Amino acid sequence: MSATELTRSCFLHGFMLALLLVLPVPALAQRQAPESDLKAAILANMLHFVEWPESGLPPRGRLAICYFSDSAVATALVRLDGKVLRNQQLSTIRTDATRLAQCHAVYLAPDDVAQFPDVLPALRAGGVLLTGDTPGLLDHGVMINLELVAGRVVFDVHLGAVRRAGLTLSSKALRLARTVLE
Amino acid sequence: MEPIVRIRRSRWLSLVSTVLTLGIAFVLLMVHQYVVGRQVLLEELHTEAAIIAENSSAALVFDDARSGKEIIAAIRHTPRIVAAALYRANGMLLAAESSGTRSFPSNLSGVDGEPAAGSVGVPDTTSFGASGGLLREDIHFNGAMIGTLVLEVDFTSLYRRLLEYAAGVVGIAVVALALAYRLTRRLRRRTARAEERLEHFALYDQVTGLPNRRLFEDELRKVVDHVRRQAVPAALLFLDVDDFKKVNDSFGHEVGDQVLAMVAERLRSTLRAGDVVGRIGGDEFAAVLYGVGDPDYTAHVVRKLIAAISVPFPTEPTPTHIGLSVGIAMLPADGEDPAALLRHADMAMYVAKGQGKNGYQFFSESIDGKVRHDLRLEADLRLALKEHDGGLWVAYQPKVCARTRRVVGVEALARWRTEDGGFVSPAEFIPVAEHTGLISELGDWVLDRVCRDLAELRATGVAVPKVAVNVSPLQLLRGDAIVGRASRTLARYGERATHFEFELTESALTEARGARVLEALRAAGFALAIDDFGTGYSSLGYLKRFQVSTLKIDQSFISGVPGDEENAAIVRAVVQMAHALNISVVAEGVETEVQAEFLAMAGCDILQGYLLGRPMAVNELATFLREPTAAVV
Repeated sequence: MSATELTRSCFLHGFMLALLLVLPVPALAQRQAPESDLKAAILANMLHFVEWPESGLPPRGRLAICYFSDSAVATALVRLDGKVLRNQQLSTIRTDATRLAQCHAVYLAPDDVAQFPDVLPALRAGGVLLTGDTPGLLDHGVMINLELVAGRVVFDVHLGAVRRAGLTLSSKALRLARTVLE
Repeated sequence: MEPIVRIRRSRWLSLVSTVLTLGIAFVLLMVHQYVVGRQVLLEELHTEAAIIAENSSAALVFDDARSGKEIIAAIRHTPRIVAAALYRANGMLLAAESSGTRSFPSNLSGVDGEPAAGSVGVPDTTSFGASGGLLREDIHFNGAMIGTLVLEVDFTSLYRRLLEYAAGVVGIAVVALALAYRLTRRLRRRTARAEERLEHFALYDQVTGLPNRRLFEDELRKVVDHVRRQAVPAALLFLDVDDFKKVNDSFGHEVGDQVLAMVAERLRSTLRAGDVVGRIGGDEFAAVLYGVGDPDYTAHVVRKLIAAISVPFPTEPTPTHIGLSVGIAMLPADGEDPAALLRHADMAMYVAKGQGKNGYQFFSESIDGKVRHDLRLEADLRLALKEHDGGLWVAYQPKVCARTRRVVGVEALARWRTEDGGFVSPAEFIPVAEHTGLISELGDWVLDRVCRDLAELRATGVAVPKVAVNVSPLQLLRGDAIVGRASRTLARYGERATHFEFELTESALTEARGARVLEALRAAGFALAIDDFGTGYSSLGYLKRFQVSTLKIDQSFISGVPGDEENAAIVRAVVQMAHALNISVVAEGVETEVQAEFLAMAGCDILQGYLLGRPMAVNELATFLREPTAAVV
């Protein structure tokens, strides 16, 4: 393949994947796709509707989603690594509580919940979207919590936590939330 | 009739053109409104589509059908948008909202096959028809296409608004026009009145209120048509006011106009309502008696008119007396064409005037010829009077003493030789001169010519005894300026008044207005002679009053003597009476020696006639006077 042909095919791939990212998975597919893929897609798509504060952000040119340990959703997230989202590349990074500054969003698997108290102070510095899919996480500072209900993945939002982190979540996404807490 | 029709048609045309202009303006306005309205409608639709697309991005991204339906349900607020549907990027229907029974296909690309009955077929791009259409827009979010929005739109609101607008425009236009109509009522009334007045000015004479020449000729034309088509007769009268000029001269034009108005009123009231009377000239009127074909009845009507006008008119300071000369042409006998009829009636009127005014005359072919002839004669006479050798000349007939047969004087007689060598008899041209008023000029010309001839004779050593010049009574009516002119002419040539004698007919004496002139002539030293004595009315007292010096017995008495005893007696009686009054007597028309002898015996002083000498030109007279029998007295 020539350089132009390579660029074109990469572009095409990226576009198609971006489409996949932005395009909602058909309702039919939603019922049949694995739960982890759906959750990962939602987490990634949520980044369309989040605004970070200008200062103190990880370097531009990439959007970083971090995870702590292997989980089904984390694996699905890894599969999304490198996709273009809002003109930036999506990076899926495995991290720990000390290097959260580089993250735009963090996913907490149910197994990670035990470590949560350690994570919290670093998170309170701001600028990171905290997500999870364990029931009751919202009470503990998680901003977006996903849950599978009747074959559909719904999400709850803790708007107060979002604001305290200095982030804004577009009302367009908010209206799709099952519950919004202040 | 013409102006009225023209005015109505112009009003009609202005109305039609107004309506047409307004109609075109209205149509153009509506077209403009439609174009602009449609443009605005489409802009708004696109805006609404954009808003919906913007709001539905999250629903599409998260594939939330419920949320999508909530969002597009907002179209219920817009009657323009009848139905809406959100499709995912892959063409599958996410949510739809429809106010009617229409339904959207579940797949944009038509993979399902034919759309179900009652469903909206979705075209590939936005398409609009006359009453509505489908707006199809792809929804983009953060640089990628995430779905398609389809709106079914309906334009009836546009048309309804256009209708309301049209109704409004028409309503306003009607109100505005009604207002304008009301406000211009006064203006329109004034315009209408002005048009009426204009029409009236164009057709009616302002002084008398009668139809003017133009309208009268129109009416005459109609009558001619009627006469031709329906064989109904008619009579055309041409009425000329006698001596109207003197009214204007004596009383002024204002009184003159009053008199004309009164004349018009009298004419109108004497004639029937259906007869047309018009003023066609300064003092000329014309009338058409419709249905009148009997000359006797026509003459009766004309006499009534003349009688009506002969009643004095009540003017200040003195009443006005005028007469009427009427010319009559009968239709259809005297002409088929209005112009010819008027001309013939005019000629007849001219003859009536010549016959002594205040009378009437029917047209006839001979009048036509005579009038034409007279007119030509008048024109030629005018020319001749301007020249010294234009054809006019003076002939002289000797008058001799009855006893001694010596020349005691001459009578100057006007003669006219035409260009082609012909001869116009005084019996022809003198009356024409009298009619046309050229008589004074002719008289002055004759006197002037006589003086010149006398000068010519004197130059050759021939002296002429007394010269007698004829004076027409009409010359006396012009006032005593004639005396002044005669005196000046004589003075110019160095002649004395006593050398001249003026011959007048008896009627001149009895004409009251001429008395002053006669006295003036006598005062200037001219002698007066009565011509054609015995043929007219004489007042013997006047002979004394005006100091007449000579009586000329008319030749009708002379031709019979001495055989006719009555004539002989008359001659003797006249001679006796004249001698008693110290007036000399001349016998006219002496043709035989027998007559001459008798007359000399009866006491006649002077003889004149072909026996003694025919009227001759001045050079012949010179020869005649050199004869031994001639003697200077």
